[in-house]
Amino acid sequence: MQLTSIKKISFIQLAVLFAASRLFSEAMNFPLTTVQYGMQRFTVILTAYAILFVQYIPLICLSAKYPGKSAVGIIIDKNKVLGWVYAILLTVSVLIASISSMCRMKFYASSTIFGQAPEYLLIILPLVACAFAVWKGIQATARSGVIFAAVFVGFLILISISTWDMFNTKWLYPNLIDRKDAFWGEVAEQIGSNSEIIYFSVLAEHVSEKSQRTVYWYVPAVMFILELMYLLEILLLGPFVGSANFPFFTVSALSNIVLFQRLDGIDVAVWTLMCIVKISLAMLCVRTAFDRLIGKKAGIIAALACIVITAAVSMAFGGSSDFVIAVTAILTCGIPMLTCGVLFPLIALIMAKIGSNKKNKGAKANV
Amino acid sequence: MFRKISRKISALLLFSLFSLSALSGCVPHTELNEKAIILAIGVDYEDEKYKVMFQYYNPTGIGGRTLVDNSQPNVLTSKGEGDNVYAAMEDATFRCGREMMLGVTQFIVIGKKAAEHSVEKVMDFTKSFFQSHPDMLVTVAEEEAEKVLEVKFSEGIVSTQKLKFLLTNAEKSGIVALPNALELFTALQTARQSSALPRLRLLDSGQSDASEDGKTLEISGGVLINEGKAVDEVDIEVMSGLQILCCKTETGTVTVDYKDEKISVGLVNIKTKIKPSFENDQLVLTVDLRSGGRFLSTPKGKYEDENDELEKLCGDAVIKRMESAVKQTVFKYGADPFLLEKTIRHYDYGLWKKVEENFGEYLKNAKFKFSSHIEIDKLILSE
Repeated sequence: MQLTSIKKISFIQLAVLFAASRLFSEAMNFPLTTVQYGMQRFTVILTAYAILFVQYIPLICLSAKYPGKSAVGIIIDKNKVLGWVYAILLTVSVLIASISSMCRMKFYASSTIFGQAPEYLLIILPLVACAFAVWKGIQATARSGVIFAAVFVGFLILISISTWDMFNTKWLYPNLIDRKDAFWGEVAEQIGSNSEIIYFSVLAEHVSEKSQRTVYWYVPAVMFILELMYLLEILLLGPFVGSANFPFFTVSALSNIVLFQRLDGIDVAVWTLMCIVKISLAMLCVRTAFDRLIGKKAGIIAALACIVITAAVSMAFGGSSDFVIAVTAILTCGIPMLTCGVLFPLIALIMAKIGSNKKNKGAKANV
Repeated sequence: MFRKISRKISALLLFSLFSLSALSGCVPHTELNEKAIILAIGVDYEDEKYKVMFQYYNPTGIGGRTLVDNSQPNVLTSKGEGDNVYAAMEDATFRCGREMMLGVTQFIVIGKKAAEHSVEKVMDFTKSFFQSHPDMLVTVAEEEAEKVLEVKFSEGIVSTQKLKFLLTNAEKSGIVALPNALELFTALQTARQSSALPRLRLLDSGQSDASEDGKTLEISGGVLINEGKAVDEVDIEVMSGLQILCCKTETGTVTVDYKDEKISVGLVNIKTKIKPSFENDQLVLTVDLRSGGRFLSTPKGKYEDENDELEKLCGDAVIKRMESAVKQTVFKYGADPFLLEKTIRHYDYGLWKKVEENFGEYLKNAKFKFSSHIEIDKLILSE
């Protein structure tokens, strides 16, 4: 069976994909219990993304030192058993992220504008697109992801232009930390569900060169966009930002341009596209890991199986908000990200270092 | 080769088959004309039950060449009741036999008793209806909201259009402050949960030709909301003063007595700045009003040299309105209908932290210093 090869992409493409994936999580993150009206959120985002950058350091070192390789690739090459452990943990983590994303997307779409649409369609249609993306490989996903991200940027500009006359700058006030006791809790919640670090530990090997630069672009870009989005929300909604279920949806509903009386329909379309990017990336991770472990065919079968599991679980339990909250809580606690995104890359770095030292010693002995 | 093609064909067939399920024919759906497109919602509260009445779009007016007959109100009404507004809405939907759609709802009219019970509880249902527009206008009925919605205006394509014009025009003229749903939600999130909503009075003299039954509506003033519920009725002067204090209007009119003449001056580009300070354990708010002015009627005498005096008189008249608004709302109830909280926080965060705990009490004892600077256009004067 001829399989579509995964091929290489540039670091900018991967950064855009990660940004799209991250922004989806931020916009659909319900319930964000600690988001309240206040300038503190600006500081929280800034601090959270600074810490996030620190979390990426092992992966940055790995990418800089061993170009064209990923943490998962190195571990599988060095120790098959550990490779299996890593692949399974990684699959479970990205599967949880996919299920959580799908359920949140379904909840969002059905409670906003697709109230009448059958729920199975809201789940299956995006997942079919994800399956197609996995089949086509990361290059095709990257191309479409860049287009989706451009749609989002255009949408953000459109919202800003169409609502600027409603901005009330008096909702801003000069105190960037006004709830000291809650500050670190908010920071933890902000960075907890960062599944992109796991994606990077796998997908770095598909970047044609200087994959570490993905992080240099992605982290500041997302931080900047998030600050901008929150600024928009606060200027338009003031204290209501803390009690609105989906503040950005309310902001888009306020937008009024000549052709469209409100842009909330476009908002849902944009986040659906972002959701497809996020789940596709997760599944590409599974494909890459199992591709290395048991071959190309098995890799793609594993990824498709994960899509089927995501569909089945989302359809079976997606209607229960308790389930969605519980699944999301697994991610926000940060353990999957720290294990697969920091701990294993550190192990990979050490293993690669030991390996190269042995090689050097061997070479010296031969000389 | 053949296997490859047949695989592609089977994939295409599978995809086509699956796509069929996404087509409207295979999916349970409701046509637009089967929906109750709700234009206005009235909410009353009686015997611990919420009563809802909504006006929904009925495009089957007869007598015109098109589906929508402009000479008809084009609306029907439905009623329901329940333990909360959401339940009452569902009951009303059940009775009218149509699925509700809130995407184009323009109004929420809250009955007097419902507003006195809790405005927050009334408005809460819109949070779960994401399709409802944050721009919809909110008013309070002098008696029952149901009575207001029973008036079906034949002016405009739908009945609510007339009501919308009435309110937005009053706002533009500087007569009433008119918060939309979003502004009300925002106000309800502040410390004092205060706002001022326009009050609608039903006139059933039967002489109006704008509605089917001769009834009409007028804006009779406003209702002060404090701590999330209606606490008092205020008159037009107070509402106008509040609107100036909220910086929500740029235009207005004042009429002053000057040398046995009633001179009307139209105010343009009204800008109000409020600066907070703290003196002797008292919150001090310095209100500075700046505006241009134009004579709306040509004065008989020539007042080139006495413009300053006229400007002062106009300024005093506007200050009187603002003082009246402050007295009736801030001093009397410790209410914050023009969102002083936002202003204090913005200009002096330290001061906000100082007064946050007992903000209501600080407001009751606050000191307002008013000043005005109105410049009347001399070109018109020297006619």
